[in-house]
Amino acid sequence: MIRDRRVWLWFAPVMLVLGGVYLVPVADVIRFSFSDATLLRPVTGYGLDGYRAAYNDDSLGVVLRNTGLFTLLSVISLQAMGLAIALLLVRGDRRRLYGMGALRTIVLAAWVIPGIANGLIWQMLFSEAPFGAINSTLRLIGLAPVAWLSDPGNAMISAVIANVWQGSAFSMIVFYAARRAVDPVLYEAASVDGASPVAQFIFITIPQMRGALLVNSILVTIQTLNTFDTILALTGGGPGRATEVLSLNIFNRVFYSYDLGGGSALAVLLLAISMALTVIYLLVLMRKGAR
Amino acid sequence: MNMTTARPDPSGQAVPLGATLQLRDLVKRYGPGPAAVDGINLDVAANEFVVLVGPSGCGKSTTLRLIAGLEEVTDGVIAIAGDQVNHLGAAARDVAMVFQNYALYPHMNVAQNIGFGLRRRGASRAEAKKAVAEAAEILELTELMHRLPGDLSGGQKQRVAMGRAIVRNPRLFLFDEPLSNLDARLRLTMRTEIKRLHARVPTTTIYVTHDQTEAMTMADRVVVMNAGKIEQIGTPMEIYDAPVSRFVAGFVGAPAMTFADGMLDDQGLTLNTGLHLSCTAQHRGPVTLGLRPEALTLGDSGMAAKLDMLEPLGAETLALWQTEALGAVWVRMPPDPTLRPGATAHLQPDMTRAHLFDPVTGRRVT
Repeated sequence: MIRDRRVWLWFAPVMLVLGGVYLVPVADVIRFSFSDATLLRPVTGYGLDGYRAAYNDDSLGVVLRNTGLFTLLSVISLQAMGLAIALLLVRGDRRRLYGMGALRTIVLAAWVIPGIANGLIWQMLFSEAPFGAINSTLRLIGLAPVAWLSDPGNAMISAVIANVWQGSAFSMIVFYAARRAVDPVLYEAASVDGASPVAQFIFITIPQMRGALLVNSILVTIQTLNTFDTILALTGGGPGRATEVLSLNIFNRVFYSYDLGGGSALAVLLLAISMALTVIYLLVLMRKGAR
Repeated sequence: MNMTTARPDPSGQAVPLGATLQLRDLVKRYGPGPAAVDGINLDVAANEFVVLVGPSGCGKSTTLRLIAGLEEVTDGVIAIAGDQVNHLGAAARDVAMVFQNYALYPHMNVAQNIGFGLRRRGASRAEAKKAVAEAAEILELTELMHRLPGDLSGGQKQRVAMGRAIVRNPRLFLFDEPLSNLDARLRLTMRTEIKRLHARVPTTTIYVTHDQTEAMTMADRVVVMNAGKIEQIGTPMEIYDAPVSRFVAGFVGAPAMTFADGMLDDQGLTLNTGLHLSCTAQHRGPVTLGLRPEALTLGDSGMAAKLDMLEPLGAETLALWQTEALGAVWVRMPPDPTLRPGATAHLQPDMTRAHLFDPVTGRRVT
């Protein structure tokens, strides 16, 4: 531990920035969560009414179930897609195939598109109107069109697809770096040992990338929990509440119902979930660092 | 010769013979420019210990990787036990390899590392366990079975890597500079251990090293390589006593051979520096004379020399003398505490132990 008090001088800028950008807004959300504030009227009193109303709302169960389902499906698919693309890229690199850079760029291009735009793009693709790209294609090859967005069950799948399309790039980067860090001689030793490509994947690649898989799954979970812009543009949470996740519910509560207090009370719940995941993430990181 | 051939051993069990290995006009090219391996021919008998030796970039490691199936052959044939294996991947060749940096699986313990190859080749858990225990016994690894590679010393890692190789009874053992990451003392110990292992578990072995001492001490036959080609194949003593080229003569032996250019005629050998030596060789014309440190002795006559440096090794002393006729020469001498740098003496070359090479082609002449 450094005793010198001047250390705080060096910390001051980062503390000011972090405090101003993160801590003050978070503190404000917590303050609002105990208030009766709405977007139309400032705080007139503090209490637990906001919490009581928000947590007793009948829709909360559905919203949490949607959030869990959306997050679970997204995280599994994001990791699978990210891993598949990363392994493909590494293989392509090793064989010095042309177009690997282009492939990386295309995947990353999806990642830099704003969530709202992503939602709009997929809304057009999934559209059940005559110009809907996917249904037109299905019709072209003689298949029946699919109710991508109007069917409650399909809408959730559609939202996951849109989210995965955009988010895979992040997992891809993490896994690409992790896979490149695996000593190639391990694969040579394994192939001399008689391991098939599948066995090499199971016994070398997966264990060697375990740390990256763990860390990435937590990061991706937090990201997905906070996703609402894509869904907002794609389905608006519908049909009914079929795709309404917690973050979107908070957004709707605050900006459509003007209920700042209730929205903040649920935001605190979302914050708590994210914080818990962050703690797990830090524990994983520290254990990795300790080894 | 076939790997299924077995011979009885004293315990009554059949011990599989190592396979033969043939390389025919083997070529490996990575791109334009000179080939990494440039038309190699080699026949290795069953259970023979062959060492490929040469300077960095001579193609010895590439040759080994071609045999292992880790690189694709550009041209030529590799045959194990008489069967061409060019088209087979590493997994199908039934060879075992010890890598320079051990290449242990970091997430598996010692037992799992050794047993991995057995399990991948379909051995049951119980079979693998038994074989692993036997291999560990031979290599004195029994105490370390549950350690991870990260917790092992260099020598222990080396032994695990060897355990991984011997446990499978492979047709060929391939060693890629296995001792180069160890300190000098451990290198010596492991050298003995590998030889002892080969005596105990005879298997056809190809061993790659850049260290000529390792090559000389371990090999049944040494293959000296240079620039993708084989310079000479022979027993260690053949290589030492009758090097076919100036390259082999200079590469093998420590301290290195001393070379001097001269002219051979009916009067004998006259060096460019003016020194005249009697010589019975039939060859006439310009030659390069090569003298090993033991081919020079101190005497009353011969070249005038001044002592430059002494390297006492205990049983003998290596002395670096400066001479007009040959430049700096190493001489192997009995220990002599009275000698000090700066001393002067005469050096007498023993021409019966001299080597003569063509100065243009570098080939040996007689």
